[in-house]
Amino acid sequence: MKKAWYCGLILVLVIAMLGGCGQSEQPVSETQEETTQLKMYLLGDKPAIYDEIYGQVNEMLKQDLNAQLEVEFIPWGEQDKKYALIFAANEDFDLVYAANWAYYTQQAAKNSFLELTDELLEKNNPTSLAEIPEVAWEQTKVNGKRYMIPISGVEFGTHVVGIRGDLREKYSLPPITDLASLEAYMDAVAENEDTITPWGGLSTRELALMMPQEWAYAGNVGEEMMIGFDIADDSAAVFSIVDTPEYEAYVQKMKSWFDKGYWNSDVLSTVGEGLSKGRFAVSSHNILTTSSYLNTLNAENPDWKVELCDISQGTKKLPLLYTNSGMAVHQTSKNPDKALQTIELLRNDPDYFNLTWYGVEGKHWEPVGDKEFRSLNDQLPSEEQYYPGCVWGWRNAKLWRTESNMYGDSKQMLKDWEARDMVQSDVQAFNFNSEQVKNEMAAVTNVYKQYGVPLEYGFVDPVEGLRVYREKLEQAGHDKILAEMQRQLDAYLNQ
Amino acid sequence: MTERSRISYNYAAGKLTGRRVKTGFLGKLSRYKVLLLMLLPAVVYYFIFSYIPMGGALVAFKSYDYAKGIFGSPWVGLENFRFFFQSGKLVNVTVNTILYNLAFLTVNTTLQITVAIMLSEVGGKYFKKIAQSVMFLPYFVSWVVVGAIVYNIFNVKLGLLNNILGFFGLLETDVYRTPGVWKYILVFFSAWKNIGYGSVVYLAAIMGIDTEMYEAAEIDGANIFTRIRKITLPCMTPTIITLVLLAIGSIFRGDFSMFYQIVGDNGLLFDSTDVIDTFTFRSLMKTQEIGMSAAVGLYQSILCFTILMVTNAVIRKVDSSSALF
Repeated sequence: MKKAWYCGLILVLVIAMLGGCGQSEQPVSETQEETTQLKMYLLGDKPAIYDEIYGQVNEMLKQDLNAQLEVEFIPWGEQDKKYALIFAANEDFDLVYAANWAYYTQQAAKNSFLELTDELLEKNNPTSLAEIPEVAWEQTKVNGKRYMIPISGVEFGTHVVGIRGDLREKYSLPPITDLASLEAYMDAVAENEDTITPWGGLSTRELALMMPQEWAYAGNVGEEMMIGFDIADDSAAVFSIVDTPEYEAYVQKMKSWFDKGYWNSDVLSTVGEGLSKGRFAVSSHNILTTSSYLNTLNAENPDWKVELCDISQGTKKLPLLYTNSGMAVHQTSKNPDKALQTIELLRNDPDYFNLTWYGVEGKHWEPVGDKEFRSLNDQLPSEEQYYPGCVWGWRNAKLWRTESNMYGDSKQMLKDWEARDMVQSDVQAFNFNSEQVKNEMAAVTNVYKQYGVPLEYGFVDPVEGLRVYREKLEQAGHDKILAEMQRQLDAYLNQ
Repeated sequence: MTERSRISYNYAAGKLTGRRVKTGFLGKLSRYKVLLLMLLPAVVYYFIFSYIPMGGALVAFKSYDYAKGIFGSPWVGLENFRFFFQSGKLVNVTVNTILYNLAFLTVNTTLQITVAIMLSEVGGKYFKKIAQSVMFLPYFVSWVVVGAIVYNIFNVKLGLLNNILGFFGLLETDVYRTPGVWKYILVFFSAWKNIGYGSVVYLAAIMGIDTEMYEAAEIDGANIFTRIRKITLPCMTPTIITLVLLAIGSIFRGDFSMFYQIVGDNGLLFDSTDVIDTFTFRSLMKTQEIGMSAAVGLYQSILCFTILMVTNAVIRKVDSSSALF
């Protein structure tokens, strides 16, 4: 009997101890000497030499702000899932990367980020406030409030393609300059190469529909809504992409691409793999990413003779929004002032900026003039190379440098685009408030994935598949989203 | 301590002190204090991890705002449930979830019982151990890995299946565009993964059967099949009913990791492979509305609760000793 009592007592004690663990909090010191611990979430893979780089950052931060910064990285594959979770779980962090393509609008509408009032910014970020153009600050507004410090500078999201020059030469094809020559190249690969599948790029829609039509997605709520606007048209009308004849022609074309063997029916499991493993003959991404990707590939496989091709043929291009990257403060941060001051330093102080963006000067990079740099990563063993992850959030037009050895003609392409093709659009900066139609948006997201994606990869009959897709979109309330977006857009433009 | 000494001890204690046995709540409390104390950890565990979080179901009726928290966010009534109906997928995914779970339950239970009986009947200590280990192994393989295995078997160009078919000069198949075969694939892999684990539970039930019954039956001339039918199966019934009941309690919940890892984002297959959990995940990943996912969770919980109560009531009517409660 006594034994049982002891056992019971021990159990109770164990439970009491377990319960107690969660409550042990360090006493908050009142003294000014206490160093502030800041935590920041970035996207991307943790750099191999994280300790070296951020160790130096912390030495400087200790001097400047009496603060220490710890950075957590959310790897690319987990970004769409884990990003929302850190807010939902109310993790204890202060700073976070924010971007219009990474749910900035949705999260801001839910107050995940701290509102950046004039007062807060004037107090902590005077340099950024002056350096970032007014139009950029306008773009960050969701329901009239600012939630991020955006980047400054012009960049393009327009896709280019990377291809295998050795394969192109093998079938004596001319250089690739447009969609037709790209098709000829993929035909040759599909017909003659047993182990190589032509298309290893991202969604075909960008290259085969949006770019030739000079369209972009409206409202900054993601491509799933399939609501577009014409970047060259000033009438500020949004439309349903799926309902256009151009879309009809596009899905017909994709069906023929699939039938010709440009990809396999398991493409959704391999989408965006690119050229690296030698299984595909085409990769597609924006120009800066493609350039550095091809640089790496060329060093590893010089016999592939990879080529960077622009198939946009001088179509009009929108520069990326300033909200394409930025930094935000977590709603429940305990030290918003110190967090904002840290961003101010990372963003505007050349020591911080260069170190976090390019690594240690003389070891990882060397400056080429004022606006360019040369990477020295290829001279270092891989465990000492520096790939910064998502430091884009504190990109600053004054300090930012382009790579001097951009692949192929890409440096000239960028110059041409900026001088010749760039247009501005008021519609682009508009952020849609989805509160009224979020049920419809959830339903449309599902319809997009179930009926839209297979159609765009040519898995189903293009006529019947398109009919079903349109019908399901209508049932899901797509019209209502479109109408609400047009209403909000008109109100936004008439401000 | 033997049965005999306990009786005499109790008897002596009652006799010596002459106390009356207390009834009522407090009396029971002191009388069963040891047992209650042993129960305490489980009660505390379920209270903390299952009952307190139930308050979070409130979120299903709110438009969640991170600045205001669960209690401060504005009420929106049933608004969060609307997308589920609007999508036109409610019936499809609910039916899929139930049918898949019923198929898993039937196939897995039957196979597990069969294997358990076979293992108990075959001789050879080493054969038994090895067979058990081999069957148990898949249980430890994560669905992510199973997903990769499935892809390597079925993908069109380099997959195992098409290579074998090609070797024999047969027509290659395109499994990723054939929704109909996926129900068999899913059921097969579920069975493959769970057979070892489940059979151990049933094996334990068989080991608990009194061997004297088998000896008596053997003397009376019963052959092995009669023994299985007349002794093993009836003696296992309570275990089977308990396990089946527990499984029915989660019949409206799809095994997310299984469906997601094996089927992935392949829209062509959704009509035959989509369960409530994968549908919710896909619909809400972009909008990231906690309230709407909580609404679906609540919908599942209410259905699970209802079906569990009904099944248990039916079993209690038929065979009251086998019911869960």
